[in-house]
Amino acid sequence: MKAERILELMARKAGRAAGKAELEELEQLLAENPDYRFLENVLDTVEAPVQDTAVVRDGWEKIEAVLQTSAQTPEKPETPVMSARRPFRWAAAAVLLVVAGTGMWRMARKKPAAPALQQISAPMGSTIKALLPDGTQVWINAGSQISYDARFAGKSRDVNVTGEVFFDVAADDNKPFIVHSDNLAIQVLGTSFNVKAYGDDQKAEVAVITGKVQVMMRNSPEKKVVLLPREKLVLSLDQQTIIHEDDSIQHVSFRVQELASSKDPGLVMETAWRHQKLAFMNETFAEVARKMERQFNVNIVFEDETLKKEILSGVFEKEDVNKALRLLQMTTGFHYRIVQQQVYLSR
Amino acid sequence: MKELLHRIQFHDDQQAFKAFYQQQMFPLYRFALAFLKQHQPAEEAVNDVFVKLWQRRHTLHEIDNIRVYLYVAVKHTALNQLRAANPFEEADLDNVQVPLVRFCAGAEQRLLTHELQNAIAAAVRLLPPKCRMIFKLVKEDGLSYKEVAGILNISPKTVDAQLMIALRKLSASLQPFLHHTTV
Repeated sequence: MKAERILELMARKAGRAAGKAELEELEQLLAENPDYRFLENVLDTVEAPVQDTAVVRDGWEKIEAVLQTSAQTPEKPETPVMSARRPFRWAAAAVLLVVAGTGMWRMARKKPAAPALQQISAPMGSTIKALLPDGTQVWINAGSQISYDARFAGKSRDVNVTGEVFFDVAADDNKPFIVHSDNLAIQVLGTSFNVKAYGDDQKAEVAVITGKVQVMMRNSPEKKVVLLPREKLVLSLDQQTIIHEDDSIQHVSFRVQELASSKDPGLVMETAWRHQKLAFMNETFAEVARKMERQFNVNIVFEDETLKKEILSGVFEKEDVNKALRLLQMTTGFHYRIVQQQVYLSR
Repeated sequence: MKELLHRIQFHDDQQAFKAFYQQQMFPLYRFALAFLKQHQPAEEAVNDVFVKLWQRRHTLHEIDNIRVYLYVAVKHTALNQLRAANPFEEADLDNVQVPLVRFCAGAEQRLLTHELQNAIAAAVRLLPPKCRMIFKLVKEDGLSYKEVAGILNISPKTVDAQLMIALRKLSASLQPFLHHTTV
């Protein structure tokens, strides 16, 4: 009898129908019956499914198209939706006729419709190393993130990237490994390379260390570039690219170049961040500042605009932000002050 | 959410509509999937509802509970699709295959052994579809009794009773794991 009452109260609590007195009564009963406390703890681990971002994104793209059409033809706003749906009705009908019961459920589960999306993010100020289910190793730079289907169930191994990530891809000739960023798709079979595609940067970079990669540009898929070891592709993105997606080809420019060489042959500038090194060669202070912001989790403010254009080269190793700034002062004249996480630079 | 709805209704703000869509779409999609089983029709059903919502955006204030409204609309759209596909068989909630309930990733570390997780998953799988749907809507989507009753067009009493059935079955499936905690 008591058990029934506990269940009743737990149900009412879950459905947000319990009053204050009932909640108190439940607390009292749970204190006396640890078994049911345990049940409640277990039920607390039920949570909303992780949102499959691909489903939401694709869905929105279709809505957006409809909204635009309906804006142009206000008298028949629903037509595009209806006509688009008809074929699927027949598809649904066909499926319903063929399959009944559990078989259908199994089929639906096998669909890539709702893959278990895994996401790994590195917070500002630290990098993360992770192992993907296929054995691929990834280093995720500060302020960056990857996501992928936790089972790699598809025909290819697809990983989405924002920010900077180094991949050491496990070889699998049957399943190409594809890295997607906002503007690029990089396909490999087994190799190591660095991808840099921060949303707020004006350029994206792919640098190959070993093996061979093929890069496709999102806005002009016919352009494919094959990169060999020690080559990198630099994609320049101006603001227009993002705004006018329709004729963006002219606005995207890219070049292939050798990786920057350094005195230390063991050091590759592009991937030094993996070893907590901050390396740059002939980069503007503005670019270096952005790297420092991520590495040290600070915000850098240029009080003197001309400083942004200073050209800098150097390698920092495990320095703190103070030391790094003092090293930079040795080649470039500037003053700085740090207030909490804010760094102010002036002449 | 209130602010988003305000921007949609009074400023025709598509950006706000996008944000609202991104917030609400996925649980609705899973709900539609329970009826339609397949990605494409489920997405169609949800999108249909959102397009209609946008078209009637200037009367948004007339909608009492927007979440309930969306779930109900998705249910009707999905059922209509099924009826159109197969006019001889009325779609009925009890014949709907509801996806499994999801236990959170950290559950294992928190308190669940693998064995226990399997036992619960099995118990959830054995719940009658309607019962599982109610359990999902309450536990996963965070809806209240009243809201679930409105969505499934049943009385709050039924929701209450179904949820109790679910809890009773889950509690029974936990029994083998309970000795150590009681003794």
